[in-house]
Amino acid sequence: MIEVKNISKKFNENLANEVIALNDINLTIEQGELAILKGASGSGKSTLLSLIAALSKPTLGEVIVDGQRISKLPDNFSALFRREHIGFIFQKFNLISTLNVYENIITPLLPSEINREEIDQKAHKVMAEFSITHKKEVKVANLSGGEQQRVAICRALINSPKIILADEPTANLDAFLTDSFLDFIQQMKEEKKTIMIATHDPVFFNLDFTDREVDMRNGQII
Amino acid sequence: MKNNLFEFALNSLLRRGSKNIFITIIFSLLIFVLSSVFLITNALKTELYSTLEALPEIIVQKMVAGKQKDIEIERSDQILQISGVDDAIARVWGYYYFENQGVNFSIIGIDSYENQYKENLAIIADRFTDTLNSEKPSMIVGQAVYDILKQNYYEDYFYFVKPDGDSKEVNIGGIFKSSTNLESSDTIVMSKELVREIFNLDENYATDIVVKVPNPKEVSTIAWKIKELYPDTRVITREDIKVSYQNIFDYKSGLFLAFFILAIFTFFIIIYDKASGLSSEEKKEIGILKAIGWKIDDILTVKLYEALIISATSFFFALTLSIAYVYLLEAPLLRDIFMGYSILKPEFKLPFSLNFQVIALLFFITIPVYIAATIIPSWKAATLEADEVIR
Repeated sequence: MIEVKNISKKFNENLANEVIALNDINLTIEQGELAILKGASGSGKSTLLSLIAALSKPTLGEVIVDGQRISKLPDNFSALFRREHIGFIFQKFNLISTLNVYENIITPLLPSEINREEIDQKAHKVMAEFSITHKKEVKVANLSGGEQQRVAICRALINSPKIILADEPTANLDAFLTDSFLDFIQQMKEEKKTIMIATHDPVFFNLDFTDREVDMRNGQII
Repeated sequence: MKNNLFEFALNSLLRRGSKNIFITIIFSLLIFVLSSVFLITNALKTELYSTLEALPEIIVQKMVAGKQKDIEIERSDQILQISGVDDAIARVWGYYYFENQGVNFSIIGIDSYENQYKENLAIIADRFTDTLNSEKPSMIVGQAVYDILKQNYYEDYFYFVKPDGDSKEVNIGGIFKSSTNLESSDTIVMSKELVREIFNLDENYATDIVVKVPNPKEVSTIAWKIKELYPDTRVITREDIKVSYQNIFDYKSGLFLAFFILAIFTFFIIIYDKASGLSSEEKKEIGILKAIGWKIDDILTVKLYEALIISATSFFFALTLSIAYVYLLEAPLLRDIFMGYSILKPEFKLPFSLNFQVIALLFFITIPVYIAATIIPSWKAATLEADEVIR
C-alpha cells in the first residue's frame, strides 16, 4: 500500500523563482490497485511519482510504502528501496544511449548479489516477453521509440517489482504501440502489481480495468 | 557484484573510447617524461658515485702561474714519509683528442710491477702483464673505446700523433670492461714509458701524485701537510672532487626541476580540466543509475575502477616506455641536457638502476591525484537527487 500524507514539494525554496509543485497532497493506493494520475503539464503528476519512487524528497509530509517511511530515507537506503520495490518507466525512457538493449536491461541488477547466470536468465525472460530478444546487441540509440519503450519496460520489470510507476508512458508512441502498452498494463494489473500512471493521454481515461483516476491541477488533487 | 561492476566500468571506458584513449595518452606522456627524468638522474647518480668511490683519497698537482704542470717524481718519496700515508704513486696520464670522433680519451700509464692506485688498474695490470711488458708497443682499451676505434677501422692498432708531429703505432693488446661505464668509455691503459713517449713527458716527471690514506679522518690533515711541504702544489681530496661533481650535477638537476615543474603543471591543468565537471551525458548516466537503484557506493566503485584502469595502465605503460627510452635508446634529448658537461667524452651506456623509492614517489604523485579528480565530480553528481540529475 502506498500512503501519501500531507505532501508538499517546493522547488527553489525561498528564492524569487520558487515553484510549489505539490501542495498538501493526501492519497492512498491499495496493493494491486491501478491508479491514473490525470492532469495537464505542470500539474504535479511527475513530481508526485518521483516522491513515491524516492527519487526526490518532499519539502513537507511523508510517503509510506508498505509501512516503511521512504521520504526521509538516507540516499543509499532509498536506492535500495527503488532497486527492490519500484519499476519506473520514465517519459523519455532514460536509457543509457551508449549501451545495447541487453546491457540496459540488466543494469539495475549489477550491484546486487545475483550471479551473472541468474541475471542472464532474468534478462532473457523479460526480453522474450516483450519481443526484443532479437535486438539485444543493438545500441538503444539506434532503436525506434516503441522499441526503446519496450527496453525501458524490460529494465523496470527485471527486478520483479511490486510497484510500477510510469510517467507519460505513451507520450512518444503511436496508436499501435499505445495499445500494446495498454495490454502490458492490463497484464501487470492481473499479476496484482500496484500501478500508478501519470498521463494526460485520454486513452487511459475510463478504462474498464482502472481502479481509480486522480485528477490533479496546480499541485493539488481536485 | 564486484565482478559485475568491474565489467561495467571496463565497458564504460570502451564506450567512451576516444576520450579515454586521449586521456590515457596524455597521462602516459606526462608519466613518461617524469619517469624518464627520474630514471636518467638516478642512473647518472649511480654512475657518478661509483666512479667517485674509486678515486684516490688525495691528488697532488704542481701548479705554475695558475696552470697545472708536471710534478717531480721524487716528491712522491717525500710524501710517503708523512705519517698516515700508506702509498704515494706518481701517475703518468693525459687526454688524447681523437679527431675522427671529436672525443677525448684518457690515457693512463701503469707499470705492472708497481702498486696501483685503483683496484681496476690492479686487475688490468695483473691480467695484461704480458701486453704491458710486450716489446711491441701495446695498449689495453675500454670496451667503449674499442668500439669507437673499430668504427674508425682501427681494429688491431692505432696511430697516436706525438707532440713533435711524429706518429706512434700502438697495438690493441686487450680490452677491458669496467664496473662503471663512465670509466670504460674513455680509458686507454698502456705502460708508463709508452705514455711518456706519446705525450713527450720527461722520465723524472709525472702528471700528478696520488696519495693513499687508509684513515679517512686523517685525509684533511695529510692534505694540509703536503701543501705545507710543497706550497707550489694543489692538493685535491676526494671530498673536494665529490663536491665539484655534485655541483655540476645539481646544476643539471636545476634543469631537471624546470622540466619536472613544467610536467607537473601540465598534469594539474589536465586534472583540473577533468575535475572541473562531468559532461552532461556522464551526469545523466549517474542520475539514471541512481534512479534504477544504484547506491552512491556502487557508482563510486565503478568510477574508482575506471580511474584505476586508466591510471594504472598509463603508469605501467609509461614506466615501461621510459625504461626502454632511457636504457635501450640511451635517452635521446634528455641525455644531452644531463650530460652536456661531458660532450668531449665518448658516449657511455647508462647503468641500469631502478630505484623503487623513485617509482613509488612517481606513483603517489600521479595516480591518487588522477583518481581523486575522477571521483570527486562523480561523487558530487551522485549525491544530488536522482530526479534533479535526470530531469
